[in-house]
Amino acid sequence: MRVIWEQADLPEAEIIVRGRLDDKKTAELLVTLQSLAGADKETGHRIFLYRDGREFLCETASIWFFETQNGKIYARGPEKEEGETRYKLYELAELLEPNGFIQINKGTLVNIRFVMAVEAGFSGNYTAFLKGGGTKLEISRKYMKGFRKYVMEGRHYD
Amino acid sequence: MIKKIVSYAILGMGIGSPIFTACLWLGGNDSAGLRDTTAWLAASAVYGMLSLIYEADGLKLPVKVGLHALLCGLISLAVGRFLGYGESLGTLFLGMAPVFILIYGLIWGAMYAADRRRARKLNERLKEKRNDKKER
Repeated sequence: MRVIWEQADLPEAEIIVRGRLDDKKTAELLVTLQSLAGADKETGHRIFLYRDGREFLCETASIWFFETQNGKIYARGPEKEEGETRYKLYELAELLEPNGFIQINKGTLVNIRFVMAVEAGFSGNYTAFLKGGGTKLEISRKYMKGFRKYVMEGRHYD
Repeated sequence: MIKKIVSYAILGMGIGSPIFTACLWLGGNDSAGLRDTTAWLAASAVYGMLSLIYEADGLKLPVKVGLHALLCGLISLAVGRFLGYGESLGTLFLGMAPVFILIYGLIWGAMYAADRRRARKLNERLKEKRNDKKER
C-alpha cells in the first residue's frame, strides 16, 4: 500500500482511496475512514455487502443478523437478504462486537438491538425472537454464557 | 445474596468432596461406605464431563439427550456392578433404572427451571434497554 500526502489549503482533509473493492484491505480501510469521518452512534459501523453482482456499503445498525449458508456469510434484515459479506464469521464477530453484534451459535451473529425476547428450551438451548416476531434464532448452550454477559453488561450498545 | 451463598456452598462441596474422600482413604479408612462414596464421586465427575455432549454443534437435540442419558446410565450400571449391587446384571438394571430415571428427570427439571429464570432476567434487561432508547 502506498500512502501519499499532498499539502493543500482545504477547509477539511480530503482522502481519496484508489483500489479494488473486492480487496479486503481496501474495504477495511474505507470502513475505518468512514468511522473516523464522524459517523454517529446511530448509524454506526458500515461494511461492504455484495448482491446481484454489485457492491454497496451497508449500515450495520440495519442488519438483523449474519448467518452462514453453504459456506458463505449472508447479512439478513427486514428485506430478508441484505447481501453477502466476504468476511468470515469470526472476523465479523471481532469487528462488530462493539456495534451490538454477538455470536449465538456456530453459524449466526445477531444484532442485539433486534432481539425482542429469549425463551429457554428444554435442551439447555434458547430461542431468540427478533423484531416483528417472524424470525427465531437458536442460541446454543455453548454461546449462551457470552450472550448473557453481553446483554446484562450492555456496555457495547445503546 | 442467598443465590451467592448457595453457589459458594455447592462449590465448597465440589472441592471438598474429593479432598476429604482422599483424606479418609489416606487415614486408613477402607469401609464399604467409603468405597461406595468414592465410586459415586468418580461417576459424578464422569457425568459432568459427559454433559459436554450438549455443547456439540453437529448433533441434533434428541441424539444429544439419548447419548447423554445412555452413557450416564451405562456408567451407573458399571459402578453398581463394581460395588456389588444386585445379584445379576438384570436385577441390577431393574433396581437402578427407575431411580436413575427419576434422578435424571429431577436434575433436568431443575436445570430447565434455572434456564427459564435466566431467560426471564434477560428479557427484563432487553426490555429495559428498549425503554431507555425510547426515552432518549
